[in-house]
Formats: sequence, structure tokens, C-alpha cells
Amino acid sequence: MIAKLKAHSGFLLPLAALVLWGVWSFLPKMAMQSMQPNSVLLYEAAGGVMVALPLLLFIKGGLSRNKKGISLVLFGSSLSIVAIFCYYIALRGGPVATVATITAMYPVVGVALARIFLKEKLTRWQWVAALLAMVSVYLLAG
Amino acid sequence: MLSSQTPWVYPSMLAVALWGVSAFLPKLALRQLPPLHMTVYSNCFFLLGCVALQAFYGFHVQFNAHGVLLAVLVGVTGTLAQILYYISLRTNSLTYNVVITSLYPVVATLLAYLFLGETLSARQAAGVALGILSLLLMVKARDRKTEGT
Repeated sequence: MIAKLKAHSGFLLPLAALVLWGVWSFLPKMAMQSMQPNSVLLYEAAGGVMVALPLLLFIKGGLSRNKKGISLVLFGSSLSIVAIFCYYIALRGGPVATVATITAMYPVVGVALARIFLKEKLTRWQWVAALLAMVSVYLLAG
Repeated sequence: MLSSQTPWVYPSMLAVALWGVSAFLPKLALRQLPPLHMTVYSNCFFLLGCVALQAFYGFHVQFNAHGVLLAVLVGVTGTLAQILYYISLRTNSLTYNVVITSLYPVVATLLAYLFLGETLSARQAAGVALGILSLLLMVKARDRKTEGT
């Protein structure tokens, strides 16, 4: 069973992440019915730390102190917070459907960066799949 | 489209660029740190950032037990997704991961349909179908590529 799961981990891991992120993007709508976005964001961060800190029990030898790695994570976390903040500012002034459609296009940036800096190449069918994914997100956001 | 009447377009586009870069950075960070270490650091930084963000709101934090429970669950599911994403990113390409996980609105749409009673328009149904097709195609193409190497 475990061997079978491991053999399919290349597919199962991102699929499980996809389902969890689906739940993650769905719950704030319900949470924001009773609280403002800034409060939801703070409790969300607290929930994240509640999962992250117990991980220390599984990390042998303590946390790595690799400065380059920590700097990259710090930079990424800062960008995420500013991105969420920008998203809320846009939502305050613009129509939800249009703002959601525009922001849902962020994978295009990720794919472009992977192509430029990591030299990742896609097969013809993967290009078709990526294009279909973008059209799918566009249709869902509209 | 980009006129003074649509100032919200600029923060939207900035969010696209920032989220795109923050989807890319973990691939670089994984060369330096294991996934679980990255999860601990990023969540601690995220919490500190969110505390700092409260300054813009005058540190006025609301409390509603039901809302707090849901918000904490948001953090829990997001972090679990993050762990799986990092582990997958270690072996799979960034493009493969980004494209598959970008389809999370498909799951959100289905959940809203099932639990919030939101209607599913023909356009959204087409989006769900295309999303599933894209997912299958991406995995099939990856398997073929792996077999070919």
C-alpha cells in the first residue's frame, strides 16, 4: 500500500495540495462573514503556526540556519503578505469577478520564471494542459 | 482599461507579479533548506508580517468564536497544502506543480456548490470540466516524459 502510494507520489502530493488549497480558498469567505479581513488574516497566521511549530518535533538536530535559505523564505513570505494586501485593496475598489480573474493568472508568472531561470521545458501536451488550466481558472473566476 | 477610473487594476497586477514570484522562490529555497524547515520559517515570518500588518488597522482585532475557528482552519489547511507542495517541489518541476495547484478554484467552486448552495453556471461548469481535463493531461504528459527518459 505504502509502496503504491510512494510510486504515485509525483501525482498524489500536488493533487492533495490542490484539494487543501481549494478548502483554504473557500473557508475565508465564511470567516469574513463575521470578521474583517485583517482579523481573519491574523488568525489564519496563528493557525499556520499551530501546524508548523509541532513540526519541530520531527526535525532532528534543530532548525537549519542556512542564511541564504532563510532569506529566500523571508523574502517569499513578505511578498505573499504584500500580495494579499494588494488583493484586498483591489477588491475594495474593483469588481470581485474581474479582480479574481486578473489575480488568478499568477501561474503565468511562475511558469515564465521557471522557463527563464530554471530552464524548465514543457512538452507540447504540457503546454496544452497549462493553457487549459488558465482557461479553466478564467472561466471559474468570471 | 488602465484608466484613472480603474485604479484597482494596478494592485491586482502587482498581486499577480508578487504571487508569481512567491510561487517560484520555494524552488530556490529548497536547494538550501528541507521542506519542513521551510514550513516552520515561512509560517513564523507570515505570523510576524500579519502582526505588523495590524498596524494599518490600528491593532483593532475582532473576535468571533465561529469566525476564529474558521480562520484558524484556513491557516491549518494552507500550511498542510504548503508542506505537500514543498515535498512535491523537491522532485517535480516548478511548472508541473504550479499548473496543477493553480487549479484550486475548481475545488473551491465545487465546495461552494455543495456546502454554500451556490449555483454552478454553465460557464463555471465548463471551467471545472476544463480544469479536470487539464489536470489529467498534465499528469499523463509527465508520465510519458518520465517513461521517455
